[in-house]
Amino acid sequence: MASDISYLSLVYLLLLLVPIFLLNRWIGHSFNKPMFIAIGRMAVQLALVGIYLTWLFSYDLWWLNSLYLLLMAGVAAGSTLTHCDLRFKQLFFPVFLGTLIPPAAMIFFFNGVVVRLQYLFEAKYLIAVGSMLLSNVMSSDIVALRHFFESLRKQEKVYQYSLAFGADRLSALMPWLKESVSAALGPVLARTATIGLVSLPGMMTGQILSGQSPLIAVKYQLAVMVAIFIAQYLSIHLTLWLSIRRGFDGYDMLKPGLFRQKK
Amino acid sequence: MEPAFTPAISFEHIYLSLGERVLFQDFSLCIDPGDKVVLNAPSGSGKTTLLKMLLGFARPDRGDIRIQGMPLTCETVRSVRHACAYVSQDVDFRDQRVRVILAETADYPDNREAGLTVSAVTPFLEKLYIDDDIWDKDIGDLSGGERQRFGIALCAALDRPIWLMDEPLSALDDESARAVVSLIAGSPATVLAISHHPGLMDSGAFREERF
Repeated sequence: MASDISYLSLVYLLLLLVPIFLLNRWIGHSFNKPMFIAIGRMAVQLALVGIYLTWLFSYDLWWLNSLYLLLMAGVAAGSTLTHCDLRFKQLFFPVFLGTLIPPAAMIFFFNGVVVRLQYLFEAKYLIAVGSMLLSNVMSSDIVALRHFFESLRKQEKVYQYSLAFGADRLSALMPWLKESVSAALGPVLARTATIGLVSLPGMMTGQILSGQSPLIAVKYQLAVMVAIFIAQYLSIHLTLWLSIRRGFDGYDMLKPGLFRQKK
Repeated sequence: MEPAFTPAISFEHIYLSLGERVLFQDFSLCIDPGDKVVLNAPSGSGKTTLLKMLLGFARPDRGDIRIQGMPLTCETVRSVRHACAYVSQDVDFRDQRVRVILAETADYPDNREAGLTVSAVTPFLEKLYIDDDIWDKDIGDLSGGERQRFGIALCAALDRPIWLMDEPLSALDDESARAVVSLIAGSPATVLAISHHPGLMDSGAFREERF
């Protein structure tokens, strides 16, 4: 087991922010406020996570763990829509399903076939692996949805021209769909290809620090990376497909109330 | 009394406002099959919107639109679009090689039976004085006039019964404009065009509708 970190040690680490604070003030960079807000938020969020994960792990009930997964997917879907300036009313349900179904299927495959757990809902795996999959899925869904709707809105005339020349909705949208998938998965592939060369992933580092052998850590990391990629790929396609079904009217036009007014 | 045959295009009591601005108030227009009509109205009066309404890209607040007797609804919009060929003012193809545009267009579900190939489009390109090296150029590298003529040639090759044309002569020199007018005037299709160019009216094949 890795040695524990005392609260005093954490305070020492936080004290290193003081010279950064002073440097920002000296060069007149207005970075201090967002920096303290971000770090403060993270500290509060992680403290809460520590409390409720301890509680969840102690009960380890299938329905409670599943409920937590649903809650995470709901928050991820909401965050995706907020980042894409899309309205909840029109697209929450499709984005929620697109965010939830591929990671959920992947977790159960991971737990049942890869790790071979007897109890598929084991909190340690369901929540830890689930949150990793959901956060990655959310990031790629944001890129895909934003790219799709923004570029389509900018090039609406080109889309309409395809419809006028005989395309059905899906054929006319295909170029934007392909571009959005590439925009979302391109960076994922680039990052995946450099793992081990440029960086050691957080999960692997965490396992090694907590006393696991590097070889086992590598195997877990490999399995998780593949699971993340598959979940992202499926989620992007499912989210886009479901959003297209809800985001267009019977005349194949983007619904007018789809976008939030930017402040 | 009912008309003896079904009009190719009819707008019936159309109302449309954009915000505070009233674009159409009880607008009606009927175009018989084979008729060629030029719409004449001041800039910003909604001429392009009329063409877009025919294709289901814009919806009136009230009123009915019929194409070949078919009311324009969610259920019929695909068939309505299939009856029409549209040349927009900027010929809004995706920026890619002309040959790829043709291949993609030919592969759209509504065009798979249309036999849309290079050899089918080439005679129309020749009529409009476009060299056959166009196929390996990017559409973005063509001049405005070349784009327009390519769009019109594709529209002619699709051989649809109704042509909707938004300023089809706006970027053309006199010789090209005459070739385009000759192609449109000689076609059996019903044509609804927006144009400020005198060429269409001078051909004698068009009637003017003012609103």
